[in-house]
Amino acid sequence: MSDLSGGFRRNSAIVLAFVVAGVLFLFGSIYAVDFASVAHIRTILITASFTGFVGVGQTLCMLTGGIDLSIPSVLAGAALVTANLANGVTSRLTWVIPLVLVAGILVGLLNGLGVAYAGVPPIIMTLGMSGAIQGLLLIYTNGGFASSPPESIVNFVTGDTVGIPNVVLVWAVISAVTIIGLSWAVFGRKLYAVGTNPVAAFLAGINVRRILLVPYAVSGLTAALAGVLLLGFYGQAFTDMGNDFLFSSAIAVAVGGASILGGRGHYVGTIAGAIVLTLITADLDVLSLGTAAVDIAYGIILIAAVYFGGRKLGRRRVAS
Amino acid sequence: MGNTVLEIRGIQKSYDGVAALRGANLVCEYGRVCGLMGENGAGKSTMVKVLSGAVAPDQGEMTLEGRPFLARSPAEAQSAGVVTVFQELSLIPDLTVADNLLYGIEPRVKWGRIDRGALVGKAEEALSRLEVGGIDPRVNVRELSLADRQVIEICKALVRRPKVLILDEPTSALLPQQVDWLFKHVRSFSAAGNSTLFISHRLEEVERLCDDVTVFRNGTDVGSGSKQDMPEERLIELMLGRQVDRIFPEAPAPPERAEIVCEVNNISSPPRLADVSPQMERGKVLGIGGLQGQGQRELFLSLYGAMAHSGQVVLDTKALRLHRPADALKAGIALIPEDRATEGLCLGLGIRDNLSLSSLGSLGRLGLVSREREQALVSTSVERLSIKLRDARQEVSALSGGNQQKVLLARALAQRPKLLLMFDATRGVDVGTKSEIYALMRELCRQGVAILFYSTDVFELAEMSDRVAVVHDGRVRAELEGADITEGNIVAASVGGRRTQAPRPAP
Repeated sequence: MSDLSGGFRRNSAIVLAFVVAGVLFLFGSIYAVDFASVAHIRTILITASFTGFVGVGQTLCMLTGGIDLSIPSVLAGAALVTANLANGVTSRLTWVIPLVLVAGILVGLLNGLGVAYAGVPPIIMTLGMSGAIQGLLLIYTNGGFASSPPESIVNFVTGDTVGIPNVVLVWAVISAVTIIGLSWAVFGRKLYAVGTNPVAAFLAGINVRRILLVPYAVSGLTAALAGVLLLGFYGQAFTDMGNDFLFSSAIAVAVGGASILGGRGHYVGTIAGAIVLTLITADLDVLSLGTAAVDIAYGIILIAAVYFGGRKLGRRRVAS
Repeated sequence: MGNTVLEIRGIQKSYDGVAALRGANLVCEYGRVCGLMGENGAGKSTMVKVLSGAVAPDQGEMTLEGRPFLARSPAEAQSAGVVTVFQELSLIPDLTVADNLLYGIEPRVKWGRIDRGALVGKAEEALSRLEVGGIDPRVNVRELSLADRQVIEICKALVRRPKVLILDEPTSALLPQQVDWLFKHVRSFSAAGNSTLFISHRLEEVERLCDDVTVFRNGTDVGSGSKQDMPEERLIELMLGRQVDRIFPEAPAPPERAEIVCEVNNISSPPRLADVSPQMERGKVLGIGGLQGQGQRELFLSLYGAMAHSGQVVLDTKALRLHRPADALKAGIALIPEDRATEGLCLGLGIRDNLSLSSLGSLGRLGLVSREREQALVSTSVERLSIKLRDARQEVSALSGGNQQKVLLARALAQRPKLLLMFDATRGVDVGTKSEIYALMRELCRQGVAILFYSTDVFELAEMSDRVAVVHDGRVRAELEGADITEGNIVAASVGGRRTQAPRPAP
């Protein structure tokens, strides 16, 4: 582990996030008999994996000091388009899913072009994109709802392979690719350099703009993927099905120790963050507290995570 | 010791287990200028941070006018009468000069609103009292040159009427006449019964300004005394912990015949650079002189593809198209940029990551960074430049300034450049590292590398260059060669005098 480069090494926040996850799990297990059951752990991991998917893109964006606010719209769009085009026919998925994923990448690229080449601030660019997609979806779906996806996608998402939920397997594969990309790949080195100091990265010969495109394109892809899988999970698609994921992806990244200023953090932390968020929901559920409490908790956690992250940054500044 | 205003005894400070100060002592007396010297990494900057309240010491005592003194923040230090001018500029770029100058001590504040008229009036009065001409207090700091910003930074400290003024390497950004101005005012400030702590690398400045000198090495004071007791050789000896004969290495014998590596025709980058045509020869150092901000930066960035420009650059008979730094690096042009913290290094990343940043293409295998190749690059660099580090995965910000500069040099040299652009590469670097950089330059010349060398240190420019082009207002005003390369001639050409540019030999 000590060879992971960039944000992971020395990042005690990531270790802390895993510790918090452990504590939350213990807490739930003490209060509820079934909390530590295999079935419940499966549920926790499946729920966490959706935040984990969109967290890939969000982590990359935040590593460059940006953010992707279009995740919910891209996610819902992917689900709606998939449901509509497939129209219940399994065989169509072989072309519908690739099409939808490519569309996700294209939307992301558009975000990236706006940020990297036109210089539009990421918040504005992705928020504007999000609004535009929401509008298009309303027109396209004529009311924003689609049901009855093909059986096969439902079966895949709710199914298992060798006893492990398929969604969790997909998450494991994507996590592995992301971790390799950030820690061992040339791309990761460049991304951290751009996130830490874009001027220095530019003068070191890195094509900063091209690097800046990648996080947004990846985010479009992972949001679209989450949408397709969530369609199978819910068995339906609707325009605001992605709304929770903006909040949760950003919090997962922040809880995982990334700096919102860029350059510091790692997807390993986001994995911990996604699990922490799911466990908080589960714990509050055990305490019979509803969604209102979850939203309050999420909000406080986001502020706290960024506050403590920022404090550490402040100390470093003085000490350096 | 009845004259002591500030006394520091046995200060210790460690960062993550690495001792920056190990029991340092320092005394400042009323009415005197105390110089603090030492190599980078000797603990000078940490001392400044402790005194200014930016960091808390682990151990030790400080007294100010006989009373215990420990500032927990820069604001506390200021109100106690200890005001610091840091190396890094602290002015707010989008506020006016007047706003910055009187920040927090605005003359009239009513209902939370600042009386602009009174503010500007007071700023004007302060600037004229300090004999600063040519800076309008109403303009935004962003519009000032680096040198003028430093002047305002110093004024900002002086208007706070401190008992102890701490100047941390204040002259590295100043023009020669501004240095004279600074020294004059520091002297009169101290003569009025105050005390100044002057931190500098430059022997000549300490010689000129200071009454007493303390030398730090390795986190402690290794010697102090009045200037008369501390001649130059003794200071160098104390700083380095060994004797040095000379910091400028012998110039190598000139190559058999001159061979032009890089020919530049009428490179322009409006509005700061117009029609400059330097010729870089193999194994030679072409010095670029002139006052600051005369287009030197634009020349370097254009040659490096980091700035839009017109004109032709021919390297080894090949015409180059330089749209971005990657183009220049590929062609064999590397740059050591002006400011290593903002333009050179990614401070939050590891030494290794910074070192290999320009070489990732050749270190990659199927998109992944090859660990063996990278390790080889790191070991070669560490050895070649004798970079002092504990672990290449350490953050680069943990290194001393001189070693950070070596990391940048190593990154550039890993590209095996034919032309090395060095923009003020020795600024804020300790004497020991400076002499190593000079030796490295000679070594590179022997290997046939051409060097374009800009320096704000005219002495160094004169010593190291085979030819010097003095730039003024975006054009070459004079070219000096051989025996004509003297400090005096460079300064004279920089500040004016007749246009002495020799006609260039036809290609």
